[in-house]
Amino acid sequence: MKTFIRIVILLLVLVLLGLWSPWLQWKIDFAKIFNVEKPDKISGLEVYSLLGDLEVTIDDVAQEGVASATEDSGLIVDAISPGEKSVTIKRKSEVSGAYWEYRDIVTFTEGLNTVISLGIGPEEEFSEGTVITAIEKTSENYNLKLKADVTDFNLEIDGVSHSVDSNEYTQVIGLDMQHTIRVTKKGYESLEFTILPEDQSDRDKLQNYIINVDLKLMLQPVQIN
Amino acid sequence: MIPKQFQLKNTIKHPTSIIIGGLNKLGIEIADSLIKQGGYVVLVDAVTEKNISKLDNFKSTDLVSFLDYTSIPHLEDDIRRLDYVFYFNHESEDFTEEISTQEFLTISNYLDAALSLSSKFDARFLLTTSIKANQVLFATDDTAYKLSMSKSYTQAYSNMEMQRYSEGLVMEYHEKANLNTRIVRLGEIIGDGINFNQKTAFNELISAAAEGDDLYLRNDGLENEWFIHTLDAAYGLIKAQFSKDTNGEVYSLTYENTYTHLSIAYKIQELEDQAGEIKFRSEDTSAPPIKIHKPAPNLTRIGWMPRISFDRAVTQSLAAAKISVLEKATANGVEVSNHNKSVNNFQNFLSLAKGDKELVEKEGDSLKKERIKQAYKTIQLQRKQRKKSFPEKIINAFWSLFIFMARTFSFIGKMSPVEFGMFIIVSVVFLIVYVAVISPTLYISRHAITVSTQLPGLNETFEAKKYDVGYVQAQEISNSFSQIENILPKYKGAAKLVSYDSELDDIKSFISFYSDFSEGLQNIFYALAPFNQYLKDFENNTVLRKSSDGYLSIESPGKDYVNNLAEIENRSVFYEKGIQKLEKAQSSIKDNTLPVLPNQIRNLFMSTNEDILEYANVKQKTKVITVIPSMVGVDKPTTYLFLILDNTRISPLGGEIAGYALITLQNGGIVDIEVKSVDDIEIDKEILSDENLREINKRRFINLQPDDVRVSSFGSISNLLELDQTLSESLWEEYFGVRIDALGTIQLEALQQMSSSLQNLMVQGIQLNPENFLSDITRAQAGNESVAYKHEVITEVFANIFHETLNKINSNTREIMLSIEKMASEDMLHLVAINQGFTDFINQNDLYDNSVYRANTYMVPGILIEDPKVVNSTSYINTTLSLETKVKGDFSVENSLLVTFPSVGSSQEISICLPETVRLSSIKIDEGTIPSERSKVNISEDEICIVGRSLGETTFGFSWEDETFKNTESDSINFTMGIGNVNGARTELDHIIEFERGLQVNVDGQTLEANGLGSKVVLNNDVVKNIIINRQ
Repeated sequence: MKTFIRIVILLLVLVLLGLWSPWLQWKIDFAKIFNVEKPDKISGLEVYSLLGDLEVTIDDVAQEGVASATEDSGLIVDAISPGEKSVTIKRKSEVSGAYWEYRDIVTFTEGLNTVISLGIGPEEEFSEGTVITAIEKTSENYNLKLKADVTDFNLEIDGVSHSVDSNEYTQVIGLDMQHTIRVTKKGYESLEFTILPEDQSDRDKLQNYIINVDLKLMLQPVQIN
Repeated sequence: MIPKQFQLKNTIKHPTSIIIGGLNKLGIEIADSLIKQGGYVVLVDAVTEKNISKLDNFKSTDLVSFLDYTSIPHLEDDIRRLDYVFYFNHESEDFTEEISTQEFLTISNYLDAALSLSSKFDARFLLTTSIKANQVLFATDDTAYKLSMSKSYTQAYSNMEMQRYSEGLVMEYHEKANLNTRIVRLGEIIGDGINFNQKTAFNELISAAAEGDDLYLRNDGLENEWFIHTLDAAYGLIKAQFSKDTNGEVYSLTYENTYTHLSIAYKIQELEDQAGEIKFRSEDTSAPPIKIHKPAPNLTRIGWMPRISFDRAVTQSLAAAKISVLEKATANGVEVSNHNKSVNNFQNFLSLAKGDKELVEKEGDSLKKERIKQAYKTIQLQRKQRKKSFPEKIINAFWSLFIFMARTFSFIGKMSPVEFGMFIIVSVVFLIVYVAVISPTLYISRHAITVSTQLPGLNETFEAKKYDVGYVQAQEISNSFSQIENILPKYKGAAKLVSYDSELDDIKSFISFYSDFSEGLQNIFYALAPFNQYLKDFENNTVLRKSSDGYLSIESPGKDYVNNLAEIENRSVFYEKGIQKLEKAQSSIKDNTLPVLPNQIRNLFMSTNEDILEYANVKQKTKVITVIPSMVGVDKPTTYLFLILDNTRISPLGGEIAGYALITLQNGGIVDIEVKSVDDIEIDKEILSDENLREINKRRFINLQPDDVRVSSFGSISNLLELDQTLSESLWEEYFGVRIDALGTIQLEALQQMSSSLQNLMVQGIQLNPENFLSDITRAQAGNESVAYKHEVITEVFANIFHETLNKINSNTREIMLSIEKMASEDMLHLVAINQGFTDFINQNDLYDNSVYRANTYMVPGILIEDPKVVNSTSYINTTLSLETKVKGDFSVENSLLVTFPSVGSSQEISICLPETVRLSSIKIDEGTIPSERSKVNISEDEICIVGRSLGETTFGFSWEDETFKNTESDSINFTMGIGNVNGARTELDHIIEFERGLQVNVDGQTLEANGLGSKVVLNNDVVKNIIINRQ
């Protein structure tokens, strides 16, 4: 009887322990234990301004410095924990509410930088820019995905033209070089930018990732015929 | 009193033994042997100087302690290890001596305490009893009875009963508590350790021989005795305690043969010259006659052999007797001279010694009993309550755990190397399986149960608009899904083994969909949660009144809610992201199939899919909340003008304009409010243009002149946008003096709906009951039959409901929001923007739907009642639209409409407006319904309106052709047809569509059969049908 009770108690303890399973949450870093250097699991953000000076807030925490168009200098935040974060970018102005505010949830991927280039105007439709992120591939057969805030636009990738009916475009691009992309649409300012890092070693890191480019085109205030 | 070296030692390293009643030759021999083997011995006996002196036998380095009998109850807490217990219960000077029940209980409790102590430490227990006691008990069973008859009834026990009970108690512990026990019945101990306190025949003979007296034998001297030498007894007891197979057994420890008193006497005579003659003495003893007794199996069974012969034992006993006699003589100061003298002296001494002996005996035996009695009191107290300090509790708990673990795993020590190796291998394998498979499965199950129980509840929270609560719930669910997602990859290896890896990938995909869904929902709830906070913080700063300023006014400036509302704006990105994730997840779930799974798991997945897909139209239901900051004046003050419509006095707008509410909101609070009857408004007729007048008269049989126009006259305009254009910004601003951002209408029936979620609504002293709403309003009119008074009453109703709604907005949020949604969906509440900024805002957010006018062709009916006698209606109007649409071969469309309505008042005007593309000449009015002299066609810039004036008729019918789509060349056309409901009334639409042969007609995705389509529906709203016609 005593043995039976003991067995029952042991089984109960095993079940309760299994339901809790704290060891499943432990992350033992053997590298750290053995003092081996490992790359940190962080992400980064690079912000460049096409117009004026930009201030950046990540999850309501203001970041030091500005991204300046005049000085052609970017704002680099290099220690962001991976995951989704709320990013707000404001253009510096003495008049409150003079410019549109960029606000979005950005997914930061471990070990990679997100690049945002923005030209912020007085309203959203008079602003333009790109947000370039990378997400891990699952089973997709492309590694470049462009998403615009307009439909029916033209796309040139390294001089090769593509006509896009919807607001999305995907294709496979080589990681052996940088690529120039130009987006045009009637009634909007054209947007040209380069994707992929300069160094091949950095490009190689993107082997298993999809490069996401969110585009924003600026509406032309006056129709140019 | 006890020297320090013999105090209890706190050691766990050495095997520990307790010998209870052990401070005698036998106990000391056993202790000595155990100590030499590296053990630690605790001797328990009465602490006296004499006993302490016996400890001189031990060296200072020996691991031995000495405790009093009273220590037994405390040993459980004080001792750290216990392996062996020797309980000496074999000695008694007189087995037939009576003991009281109290003493019996005391001694038995003490033994129980000792057994309990052994049980706690899982120690081996050895009880010694006496063969003699067993022998006597065996002789007769009625001994106890005879004893009881000898004295009083209270003394019913003897020492031999005690012995029997002790054996029984020990066996009970063995059987029930699984204690490792053995019972050893000892023969009378002789030799070095002989106890002259015991009243035995052998002691008497030996003592007599040592003193040179005659040897007196009791009765015939043929009584048998069992004997054992001290040293043999010590060795035997140790063997019994340590041997494996003695658990639960009863043994005798004695010489193989018994000895009669007579044979002992002869032996003594043989060995002792001084011994006198053998004489016989008749004794009247109460002891029963000894029968032939076979004691328990001898310990020789387990390999014990006595080493010291009986002769030698007797010799030693004689020597001990002589020493004892000499010691007593010296102690009494009596010198020993010659033999005879010494004999005499010895005799004298003997008498003295006898007296002393009795004293000593009493001291020894009764001291033991007294100490046991003290210990018993302690045991009793202990059982009641022994308060322990907190550190003691901690230490005890730790030791209890340690001892438990030691006992639980003690089996390892008994394993062979192979068994131990197997045990280790099995343990490691089990550990791996447990950590790799069992525990993740249990962990996932726990999270799966969390999800399956919380997910349905989350939908209820969503419907109840408790976004702040929903956020917490969604977070938990999201966390559970993410935990499951993290754990699933651990099964990859196992899945590959059983070729289930692709199914595992499918499962992972579904879990990731669920995870996306819950994250999306979490984002949405997070974005909308500040709205709940806004409502919680909202304070109603309006106050009811009846004055020329209106029925409501502002009591105080009101709170500033800008922080809450700004947070809604700030979190709008989360809303967008959440909607994206949610819709993507739902789409993925619909597009993917579940893999093959066991039924129960499959059902779990399917029910989760159903729960997720139940979240339909999330965006439509929640989008408006994200724009609330703009609607409640965060950026700048926002002014709303609501027209309160009495739809018992129906009009094309929805009801007669009875009152208005001008509400200005800033930073979420009401900063200004005016609720008045429209009869207070005077229109500046000069501002009215011809265009305005045409709009007003479009649906009228009798045109109004500018002087006749009142505010209520605008009720004949059914299209709110047109009303807005007619009542231009300048008119509103001119009259009200504020810039109006949005114009809305709210029908009386909508107020009735709102009242169902509120209590204590009073108008003119009458309580408003939602079930008898219109009757209560009639009662509130208190017999006043004027339309103007009714306007006042309705306006007051609005004020009350508005005020009470604001009071209850944080407690009855769900009911109020549902009422508003219902009112909007059933066309009882409308909103349209006046200024451009608000127009863009409303259009962008789909807050106003005028799609019926955007259809390629439409018909919008309306009914106008202006009879001043119609003031006491207690019901709303029901109408039926019977529409027949015929599609011709050339794609032209012929419609005939019959409007059925009740007769209310002396007259009413029924109007139907059609687009200007309708050919005027094709319009034919059914004279059987309303004669042509009371019907007309009004033409405006963009519409043609057919109006009939009923003076009691209840139907109005007409037909018309629409040649907009006429096309003989094209093979197919596609157009939309808008059918408006009668604003302010309950409308039933009975629509039949017929078409000529050779055509195929599809209406809203449904291809019609050859005999056309008939449908009867209750219209809550305008409908727009999408019609595709193909030539076959």
